[in-house]
Amino acid sequence: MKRFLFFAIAILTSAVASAQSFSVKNDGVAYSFPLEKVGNITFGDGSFFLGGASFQQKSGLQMIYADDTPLKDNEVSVRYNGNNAEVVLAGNLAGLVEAQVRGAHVTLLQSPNVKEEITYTLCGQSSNGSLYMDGKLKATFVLNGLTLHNPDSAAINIQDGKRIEVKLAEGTQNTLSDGIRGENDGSDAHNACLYVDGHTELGGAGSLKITGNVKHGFTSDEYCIVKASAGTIEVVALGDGFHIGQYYEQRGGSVNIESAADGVDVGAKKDPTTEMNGQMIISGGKLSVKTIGDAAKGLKADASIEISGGDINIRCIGNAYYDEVEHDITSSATIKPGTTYTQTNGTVYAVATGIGGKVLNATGAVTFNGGKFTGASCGKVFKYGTDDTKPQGVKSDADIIINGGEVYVAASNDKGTAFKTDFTFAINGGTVMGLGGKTVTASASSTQASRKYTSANVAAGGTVTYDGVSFTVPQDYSNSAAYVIVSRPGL
Amino acid sequence: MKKFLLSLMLFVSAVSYADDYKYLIVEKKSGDLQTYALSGLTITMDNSVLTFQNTEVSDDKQQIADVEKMYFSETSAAIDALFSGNGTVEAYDLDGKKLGRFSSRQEMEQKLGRGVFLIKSAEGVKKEVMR
Repeated sequence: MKRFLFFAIAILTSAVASAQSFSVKNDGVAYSFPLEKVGNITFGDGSFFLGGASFQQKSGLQMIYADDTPLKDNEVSVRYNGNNAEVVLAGNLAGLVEAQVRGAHVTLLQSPNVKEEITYTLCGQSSNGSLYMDGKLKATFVLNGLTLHNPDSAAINIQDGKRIEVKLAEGTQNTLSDGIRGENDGSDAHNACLYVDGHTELGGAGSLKITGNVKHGFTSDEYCIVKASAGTIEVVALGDGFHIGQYYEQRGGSVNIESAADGVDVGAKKDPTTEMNGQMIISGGKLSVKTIGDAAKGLKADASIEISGGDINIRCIGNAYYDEVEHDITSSATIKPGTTYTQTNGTVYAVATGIGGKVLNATGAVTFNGGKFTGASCGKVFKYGTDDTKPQGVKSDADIIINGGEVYVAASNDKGTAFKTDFTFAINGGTVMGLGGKTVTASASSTQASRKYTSANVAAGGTVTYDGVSFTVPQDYSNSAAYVIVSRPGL
Repeated sequence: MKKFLLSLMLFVSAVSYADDYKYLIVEKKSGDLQTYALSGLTITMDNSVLTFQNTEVSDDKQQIADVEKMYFSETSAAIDALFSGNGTVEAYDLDGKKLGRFSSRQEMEQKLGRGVFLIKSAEGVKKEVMR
């Protein structure tokens, strides 16, 4: 029996390996048919017909037989090679996907008549190439060892508007970079090196490096999900690292961002009924953000930010400044929710070193239910005339509630408060230590006791211990006369 | 298990034979057939002319206006040509043993089944792989 199976499999393998294809190729674009689907090739007035598709008769057009495995239906291969690119489309897409190749600049236009999802696989390298795609149906893009630089526009610009899955082929390294606006930048869409007008789902166990030389690294005009299967995504950008509309959800993967503007910026849609509008949800994976611009935020959302897992590390070094347009001071913050911040699990390590920079600056309530939160603000007070903004630790325009987890916050010695609110600051559980340049008192409504100390000498990178609670502050932080608040169960 | 094996065999069979074309046949409006081996075949269109290249020909031209259709075949048109005369054909195995006389290709295929045969007629002798 085993011998039979061996031979059967060997014959099957051999048969599959000897598949045959027939392509119609013109100007770097080929439609590839399995030979058995070609049927009769007939000629009409200026056209010819095969495999249920019609093609225009053109000088230079070639029909090529190949002893290889043809693409499956609804598959497209884009291969870059220096200043050239070659697009091969499954024969069933003839008349449904129009492909154009100009040097290594590829345009793919999906007909509204496309009924089944198409998978585009991109590979090869070009230092003067791009991909532009438009359509009306969801699509998948597989980056399978792609190095693509576009000197005068986005590297990849997808104007589909539907769910776009970007899959990083396992074991591959992919690199995208863009350039200043030029003659190829025919739309207003070039605000990112990788631009998706649609819902982006990032997955696949490969790696992707994005360099946004003009503005953002990656823009998803609607939601973006980093799937649990995602590999490593590295972004360097002059604007935001990730510029997301609707919502951002990270379930896995490793995202590393270094940006001049915000690390991850989630904007809300105008329609208030939009699902999860303006939210950021992190439930898994690693997220590392470093921002260098003035008033830049590490994680910014127009609505709530929820952390239920993952390992997050944020560092913002920019200073506050006076915004002449808004007539107000704007400052950096490692985390900036438009409404609430809630943490139930995961770890957050956040440091703001700029003048007036804050650790967490929320409009709505801040609630810690679990996980570990470590934050430090290290800058001085920012002053503009008679106005100023202080380098607070955790700041809210509503309540700050600690129900559980570990919360360690060191606010600047220059008038920084570890937990700053004009409303309720309640400690109901968890292990808590706050250090700062100003004292803070837990609300009387707190159900867990807390103690306060003064004049603690906190050395850079040193460990502070009170009542069995220890907090090792970042190297950027020091305070020779810190106010301390500490709390833990059983205190 | 038997069902699985049967399914596997059928699948193997289907895949094996579906992908085993060897020739492109160009059928002209005159009724003439031209056969091109698929190995290395490239057809280039230039104005109203098709230029065929493969491992056997490097610059064979056909006027598009003269072509009725083109199609792929497991067998060369030359085999079919064996039946174009008014006589019958004889089939032999590769050891030279005569297997029968046939008046049509259809009859030959039905009676011989699968195998490799030598087909002889007044038009000549051809080796045929029958699937």
